[in-house]
Amino acid sequence: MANARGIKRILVSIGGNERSLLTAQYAVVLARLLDAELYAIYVVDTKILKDLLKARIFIRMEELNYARDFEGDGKRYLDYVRDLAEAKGVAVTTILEKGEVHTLVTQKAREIEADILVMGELFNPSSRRDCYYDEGERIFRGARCPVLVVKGEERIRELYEGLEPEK
Amino acid sequence: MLLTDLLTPRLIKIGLRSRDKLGIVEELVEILVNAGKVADRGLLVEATMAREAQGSTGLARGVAVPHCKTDAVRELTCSLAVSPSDIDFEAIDGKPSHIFFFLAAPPGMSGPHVKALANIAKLSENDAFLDGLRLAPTPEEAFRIISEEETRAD
Repeated sequence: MANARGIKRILVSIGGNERSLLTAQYAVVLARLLDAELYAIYVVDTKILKDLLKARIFIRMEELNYARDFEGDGKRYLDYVRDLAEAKGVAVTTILEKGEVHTLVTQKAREIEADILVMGELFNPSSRRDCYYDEGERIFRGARCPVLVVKGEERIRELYEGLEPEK
Repeated sequence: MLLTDLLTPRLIKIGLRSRDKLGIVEELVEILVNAGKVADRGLLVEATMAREAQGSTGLARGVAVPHCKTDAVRELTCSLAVSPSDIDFEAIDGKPSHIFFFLAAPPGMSGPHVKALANIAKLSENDAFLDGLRLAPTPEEAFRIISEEETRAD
């Protein structure tokens, strides 16, 4: 039967905030219910650091220092996503990249032929300019596969917690 | 990270007493101290001056962005000072500085810190905005100008 099992691969985009862990929980639920492969990507935003270096606000040492911080954050977030997935018997492939966030996330979605890209709730733009430059917005607009924007903290926690620990 | 999320009129000062880099940094720190945002005043001044010693944060267009990552603050904090008088902040274009955005963050807040700096960099490209800010007569008016620029629909 042609059903949701046609969804074979799910890519979840993890940002550097607590909210993205909720997004990961929802992606774990989806992967488990659809029996899909789960991939989680975190992109170290080196472009913003290079821009600050170019603007002369940063010196080279700061650029490297902050890149190291971001990479450490990325590893921690991805480790946590792995724990969330494993706790529910879901295998996850974690991917840590460096560069321009929206470019690498949408590129990875194409590369693994993701059937769904799961991402966190978009921030309220304060100006039209934000709509063009916010990385979340750019992922949403630039992806070529269906994009699922995760909302509703309480419901997600319920779904995740309600999932039996092991298959 | 919008500046108006970090600033309030209370964290903005129009007119500066000092004319040298250390004095300016001390006044920027004092604004935060008065707002109860600093755990260790001496450490904050020291960390900021240590960063300046590695390379001046005096940019072009009369803007300077002194900043540091330090345990002297508990959260990402920002103050702004505007000086009608010329200040030598060792700017990259050799010209005097008038607008000083000061940012300090604890070690665990790299993401928001970088985003706030990127926002300042973007705002600092707009000459009309900088002219307005430099001429702002009160902290309230300076805050309004920043808020207007950050929500401008273009």
